[in-house]
Amino acid sequence: MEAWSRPELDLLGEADADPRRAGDTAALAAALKRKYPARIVAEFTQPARPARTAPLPAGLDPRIAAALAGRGIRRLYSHQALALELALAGRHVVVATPTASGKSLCYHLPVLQGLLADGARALYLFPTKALAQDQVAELLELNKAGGLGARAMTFDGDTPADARKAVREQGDIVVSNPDMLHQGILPHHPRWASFFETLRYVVIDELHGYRGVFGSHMANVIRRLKRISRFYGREPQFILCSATIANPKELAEALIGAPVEAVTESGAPQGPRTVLVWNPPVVNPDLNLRASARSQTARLARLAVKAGLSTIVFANARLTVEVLTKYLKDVFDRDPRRPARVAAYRGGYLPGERREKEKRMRAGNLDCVVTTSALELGVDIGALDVCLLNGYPGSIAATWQRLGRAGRRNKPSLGVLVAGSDLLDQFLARHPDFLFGASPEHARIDPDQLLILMDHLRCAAFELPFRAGEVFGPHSLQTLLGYLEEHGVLHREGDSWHWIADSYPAHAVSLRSVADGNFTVIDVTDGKQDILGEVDYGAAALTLYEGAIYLHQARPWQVERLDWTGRKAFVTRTRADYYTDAIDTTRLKVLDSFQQDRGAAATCAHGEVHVVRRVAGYKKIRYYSHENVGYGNVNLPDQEMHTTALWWSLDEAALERAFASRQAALDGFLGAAHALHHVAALASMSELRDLGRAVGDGTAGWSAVQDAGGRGSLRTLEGAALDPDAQRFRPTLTLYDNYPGGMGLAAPLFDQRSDLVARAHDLVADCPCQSGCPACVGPVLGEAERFGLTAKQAALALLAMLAGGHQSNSEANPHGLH
Amino acid sequence: MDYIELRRRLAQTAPAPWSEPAPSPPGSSASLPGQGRSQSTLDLLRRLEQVRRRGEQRPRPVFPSPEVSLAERLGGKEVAPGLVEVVRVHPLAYRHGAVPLRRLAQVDGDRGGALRHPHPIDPHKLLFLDTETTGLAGGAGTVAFLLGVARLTDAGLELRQWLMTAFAGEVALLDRLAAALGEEDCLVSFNGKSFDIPLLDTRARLHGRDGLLRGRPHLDLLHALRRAHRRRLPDCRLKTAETELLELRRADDLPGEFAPGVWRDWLRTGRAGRLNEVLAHNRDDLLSTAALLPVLAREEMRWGMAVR
Repeated sequence: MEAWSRPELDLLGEADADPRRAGDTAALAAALKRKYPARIVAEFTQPARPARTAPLPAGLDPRIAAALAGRGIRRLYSHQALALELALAGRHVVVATPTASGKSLCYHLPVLQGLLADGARALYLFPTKALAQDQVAELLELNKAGGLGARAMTFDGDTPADARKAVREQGDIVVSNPDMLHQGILPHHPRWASFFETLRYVVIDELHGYRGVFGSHMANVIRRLKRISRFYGREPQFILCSATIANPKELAEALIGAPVEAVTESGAPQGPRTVLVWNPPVVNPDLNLRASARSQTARLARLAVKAGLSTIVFANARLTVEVLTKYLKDVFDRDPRRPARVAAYRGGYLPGERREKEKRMRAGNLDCVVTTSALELGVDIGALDVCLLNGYPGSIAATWQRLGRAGRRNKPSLGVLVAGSDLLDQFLARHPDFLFGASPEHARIDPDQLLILMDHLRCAAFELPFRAGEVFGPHSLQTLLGYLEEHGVLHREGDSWHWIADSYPAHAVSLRSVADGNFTVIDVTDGKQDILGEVDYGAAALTLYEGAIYLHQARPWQVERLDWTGRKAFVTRTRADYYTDAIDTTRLKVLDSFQQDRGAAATCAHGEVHVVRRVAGYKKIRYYSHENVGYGNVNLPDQEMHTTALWWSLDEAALERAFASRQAALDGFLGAAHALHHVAALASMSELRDLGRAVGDGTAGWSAVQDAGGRGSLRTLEGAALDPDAQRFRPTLTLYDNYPGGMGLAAPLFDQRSDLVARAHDLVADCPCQSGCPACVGPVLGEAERFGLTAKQAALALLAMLAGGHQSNSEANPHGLH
Repeated sequence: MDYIELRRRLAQTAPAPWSEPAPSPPGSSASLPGQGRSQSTLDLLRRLEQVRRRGEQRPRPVFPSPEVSLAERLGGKEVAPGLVEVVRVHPLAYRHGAVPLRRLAQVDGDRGGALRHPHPIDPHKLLFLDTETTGLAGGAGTVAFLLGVARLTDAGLELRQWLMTAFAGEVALLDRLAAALGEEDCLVSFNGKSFDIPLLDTRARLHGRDGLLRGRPHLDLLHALRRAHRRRLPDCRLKTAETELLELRRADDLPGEFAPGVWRDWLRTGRAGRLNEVLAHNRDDLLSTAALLPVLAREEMRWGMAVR
């Protein structure tokens, strides 16, 4: 795929397109449009929007008004005024307005008013530590401007032990994050008694981030917070802020379990914004192969930086961030004696390193920052001119959040979405109206998912004994407590249940992922022992296997040893000119089927499955040329999970009639799985990673994976090759809910099964490629036809069988092979 | 449906709710569950419901006033519902290891050695304290189910232990502690500053008895031991101090880490089991703390280290 795109190939004609007037986004946009009309498949402009303001409310403490005046604020934006009014009236409020519309004043003002009026305290929750630091800085400035005397203190994992007591006892505004509330504050609530006794406001910023599993955990943490607050005689009021999503009110209400007033009309001014959708040029028409998004993004970034425009580049994977950073540093940071102009910013760096980068970005000392979703959230990095998205971020809401990073403070801005080669990106390049016209996604949570609820029920029981008549979610509390009692975790005495286990349940529950424990990456080059970074549990198996190249600030280290139980990876500095990419296999076994739809040849069902994922090996890929330069084996524990799924299986006889060989049928299954996976993610408004896909025999005997050429091959879980003709052959295509126990995605997808298959079929059929490409059936290389069928034809044949008819097979099988 | 099946299912879906997650060792092979019936989340709830109904039909074990017999077996008496008090007095001539308790009375007016107490010590105003808890994790869910205190009286060292025989006894336990604490008492513990006292403080706050222990003078002998013997002893555990400084070897001691399990068994079954050994262990800890004080008070300190 990317093997064809070489940086020396002057795809963009960099020298010509260099705009004359430095620092002008309009000039850059015009130059791009003039030069490359074919690559710009859509243009969208948002006109500048004037401010709508309202006077400060009469009841506002004059000291706060003075503080605002000290910062040059004499009137509020209309949404700030409305939020303040609702909060002061005692309502729960959610504010959902675009990035950089001054949302934080919506909570700072009522909180300061409450503090000055009667010493009420507040808890601020931000999803990341970086955001917390930022908001404290803003609050401190306001505080200083008005001499308000508010003590805002951060309580997170970086707060030293000897400072924690001061935070508990003196913090008027305690700034923390959900994980700290869950593991550090609630289980120790008696130490926080004076705080809880005077707690009035709970502020939850970046509400839109609390979706799916994380949001479901958070809703239960809030249940615990409310329960502890009641113990201290308080019913705190919630103020929530969200970026644009379709359903802020609904999400806020689900999260806090109470009615919430929504403020969604922004009164903030906005500079004009131009957004381009950029599709890389086709470099191989036969295979519908396009130049890689990454090289195009790197080009655009170089142009923007050379034009004197501060630029932010978003990539969807950490690896891409590191590779892009390397490409840009090779251009702009050749001289190590000069301060760097380009930096990477992603999760996994140490806090100090991140703070330092934020500071340099705010001060304007960096020309370009390359990042993952870590900077999608509200970390203040100052004004930026250009935002480049290397690939569709996976949701419309995230796309606008990222684009909103450029064009703060009334400045005109330019955003470019560079379409990648995969299915969703190419779909959007063909249907850009989907991006600009559609409503952003609904954020959904399931606070009553039994496993999550049980996790927090244990934590809540640890915090305070449960008494008969209490409510914690909709299920029968007595039943769930009885279950924990039978396991010896709780002891029932009269009408109360007491925690008696010798453990600290919050430590066993991670809000962010299923399994807990970040991996520490330790640099042991030349006998030293320096901590280089952290990798979360979910990513460890894919990035820290022995032999992996671990990239940090675009410099390579090699993993020498992985201590899985100790959660440590030991790395040494290397000069490798390649990076590594893990190969993982998924084996899946159907445990129980709840509902079945038996068609002529295909059966679709949903139910419960057992999933085993294994990283079997890795590929070594050379920089720039993307050549595959070697393989390595990986020996890591399996990731096991019991979850819900929907699956399609096909009758063996029908398959034999439709396909000349089992191999061809496998190609069809893998291609169909790729298309169905993407279509299902769109249909369920979830992200791709929320769903897993697998092709296997349904009893975990074998699984099908794409080989180096993108064609199907049968493997055992150990990665050994199997001959498809020597096996029992009843392939099953499964889409599973990628969370233990399931988050409720499978059953609704089952209800839409016909639609899913039809849409997947259209998607593959409409794709302009000839024989299959990443935009329809997934990456396919090598021979165009095998056993008479291209990968694309095989997928279409298979999807037609899933749709239920035999007759349509011949359509997709022009060779009429039987 | 049997309960084991339900448990197995929940265990497969997620880390078991009753245990910390244990990562599987590298290279462990996939263990697939056998064929058989399984349930969805909703089904699981229905089954949980059945478990509960069955639980309600089955009469809960009832123990005829178990506290009475337990109190007798432990040589104490029930002083409040759910609370047993055990009192023992060791005469001054009693030797704990090589140290006669009389030496405790002799620290009168002392403030020296490794103790570095800011005021002259009045040995009659020392309250030795040690707890046995349901765990070491701390936090609101850890309970001190046994509290032992010791005080020097004319008759000798008086040990007073309060054992919660039910959660209902916790308030009474805290109130007994409040009553036992004299106005000018100084607490003496081994590692109490970071463990026992914060834990008791948490329990007191949970029951609306804030400030029960707040601001109390407190001598933590662990710190004194570290000051005096950090370089000489292999570690600064109480057990090590006992063998090295008190020349004491405990016979038949129930290791402290077994105490929570013994107490949980009592709650579940109503059988005393080894509770008497838990109490004996707690008494030994109190005696060692009391015997260690005069020893540490005698250490000649030079450059922060004991000189022998």
